[in-house]
Amino acid sequence: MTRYQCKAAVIGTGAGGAVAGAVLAEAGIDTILVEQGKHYRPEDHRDVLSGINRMYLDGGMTVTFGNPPIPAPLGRAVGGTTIINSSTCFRPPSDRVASWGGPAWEELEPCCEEVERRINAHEVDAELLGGNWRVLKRGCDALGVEIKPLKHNVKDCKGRGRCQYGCQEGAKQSTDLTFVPSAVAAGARLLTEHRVERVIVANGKAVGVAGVCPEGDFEIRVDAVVLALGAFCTPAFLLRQRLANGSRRVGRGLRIHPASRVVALFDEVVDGYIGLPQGAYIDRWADRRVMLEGVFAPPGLMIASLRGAGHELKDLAARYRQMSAFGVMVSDTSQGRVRAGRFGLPFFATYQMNRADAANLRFGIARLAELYFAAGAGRVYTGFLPMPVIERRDALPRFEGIAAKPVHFEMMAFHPVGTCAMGGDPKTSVVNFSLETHDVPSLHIMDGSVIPGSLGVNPQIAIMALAMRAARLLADKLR
Amino acid sequence: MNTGDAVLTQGERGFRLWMCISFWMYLFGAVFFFVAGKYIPPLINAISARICSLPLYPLPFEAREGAFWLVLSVSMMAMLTWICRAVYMDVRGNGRLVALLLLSKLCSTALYFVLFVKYHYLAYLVGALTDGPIFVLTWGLWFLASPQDKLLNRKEEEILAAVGDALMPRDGAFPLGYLDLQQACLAEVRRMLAAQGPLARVAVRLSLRWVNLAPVFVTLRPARLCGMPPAERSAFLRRAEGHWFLPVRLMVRLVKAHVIMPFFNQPEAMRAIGYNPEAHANPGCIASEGSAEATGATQGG
Repeated sequence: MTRYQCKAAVIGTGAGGAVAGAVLAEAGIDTILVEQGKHYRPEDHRDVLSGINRMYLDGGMTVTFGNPPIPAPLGRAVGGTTIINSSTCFRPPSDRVASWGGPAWEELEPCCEEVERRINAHEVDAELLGGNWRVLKRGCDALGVEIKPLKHNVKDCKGRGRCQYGCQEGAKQSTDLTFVPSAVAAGARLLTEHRVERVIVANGKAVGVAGVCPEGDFEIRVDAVVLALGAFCTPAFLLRQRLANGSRRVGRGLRIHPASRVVALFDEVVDGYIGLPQGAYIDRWADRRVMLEGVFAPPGLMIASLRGAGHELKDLAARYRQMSAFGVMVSDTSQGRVRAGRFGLPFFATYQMNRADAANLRFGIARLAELYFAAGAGRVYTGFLPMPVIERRDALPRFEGIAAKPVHFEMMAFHPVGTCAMGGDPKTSVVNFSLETHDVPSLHIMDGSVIPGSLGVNPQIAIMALAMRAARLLADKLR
Repeated sequence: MNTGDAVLTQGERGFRLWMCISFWMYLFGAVFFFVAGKYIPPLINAISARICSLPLYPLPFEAREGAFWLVLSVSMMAMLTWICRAVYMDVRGNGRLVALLLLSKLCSTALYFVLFVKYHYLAYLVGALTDGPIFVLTWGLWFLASPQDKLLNRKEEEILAAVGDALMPRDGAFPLGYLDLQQACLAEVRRMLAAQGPLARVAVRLSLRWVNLAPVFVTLRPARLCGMPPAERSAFLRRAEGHWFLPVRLMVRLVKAHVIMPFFNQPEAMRAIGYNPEAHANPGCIASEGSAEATGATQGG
């Protein structure tokens, strides 16, 4: 068995773990970052499928179970899910931060600013937004709806549209290229392909972690453990070990931002695959808990998601360059639950969307279809079972008149949060506002799972800012 | 040779446990059928009369009228009991016997279901609802127990090719079809399966098998997908993809993803639709070579 000794061990190198590791190491704390996945360089990223096979947990087949099951892809590599996300940067809305009852917005804002600076989050040039943005903007202009460019954490981006499968240019400033190298430069050790299997607890306090690596077993003795496995894997890990669950809240309160994709077919060449896949957003209907964000996929993923077979599907595939696609994301009121995984599953998550969220999703799809028809689309694919294709704008009232049942939608989810929620009361929350578990001193959680409730926007910056604040508090304690 | 728990994989251990449970289940079933088989139909009829308005299963006038079938069912139970014991004793050595178990349960489930649809006796529905889940559970656990390096067998490759040909036939909008890239696509599917967890892999492989057998249940004639003409196959998949029953849709979509994604990951297929993986948004970059004209599209502003 290989044994290590240090002050702090950070498990996971995604949005939360990498930031925590860098902050601790830069504060002079002897830190080890432990990552289950491999360390890929930009030149390792090749085609779409090998990206999915290598960097997605379970080859991209992770789902929440319910009616219907919802695919929820997660990253497994140094950089965690930041290596496969769309590089979209949103600050957490201040009203949501206020609703947590924890750190004030004034306290979190400087962390957001610093995070954005370090990952180079900025509004990109219009040319990077590509044809997908161009055609939808035409519809927005016609209907008087504002479409805004998103902030992205990219540097020298060429707009190859492959953010979610590993950026070949190294333009996306995911944590493997930002916070992890900073942590290592500050003296942290990075252990890749090391899977942590348990937290070692002595006298009720976390004193280390143990797991397996290609060379055999390993053990790290520490003063503090930081779990940052994400909102699915962190609660599953804790539940497997029956740890920190005095509140019985571990795994409960899962929110995922269920999302659906609308594809429009034009007579002109759109070339939606060129440019940032998630270039722009529309928040006009935020009061209906609906956010519209760009989304475009390479041909395999795009065509597999469209209805049809045989020559009908081939005709559609041949018009790939004439497609535009945008996503509808719902800030969910539905809640799910994560349990420990069995039979090789990394976790077992259940999530049943409620009718209100389904109605909001259908509303968002209808608005998007309206914008696309205004932009000149000939046909719109909705992903809604009772009416998968809308041929004309005047068919929209019929679309909106159909009862929206969750089972009718084809959905995906990208923003799991809430499964180890922070709070002041140990009876109703898992971690305190310093992100230390109420039940096990020295065991900290710094990932999306601590965010208590749906954010309504992509959570990358929120997770990083919370981890930065909490890691600074921890560093003060350990010094 | 007895393969003990120590050397078995987790999947094999799970299946061995299920075989142990099945052994006792079939043993109990054989004894129970022999001793009390004649009481089962009247009992189901009593339940049927009480809770639903289905017609009652016709009972024999004398107990010995049903004795002929009782002997057959007891002998089948005895055979299944022996198979479960043999597999339990040596999962790897006797694993092939599971095919008999699965065949038996598939036949009984399908026939009970067809008989229920035809005659509406609750007894047939009970039969289908008992044997169906046993079939699915046994099949699923057997898949989990199958060697981890066995990602696709020849039959599954054949089904993938049949589905691929139905989804992406040759000619039409572009000449290239799935069968032109079959080997490359199958290699890609193997890589996809290798990256997936055991349960996801089982789901994909079961979906493949189901999609092949589905026409039997939908059309109620002995037609498997692989044996259907391509046009009929396409039409069937199109219908199944929009089926009201979620599991049907999910299985078809899962199989479709494992056909279409590998296909369009091949450079030839990308070229056929004008997709240039090297294209980028910087000024002066040429997206692709003239496919817009081929599809009748105009260059947007």
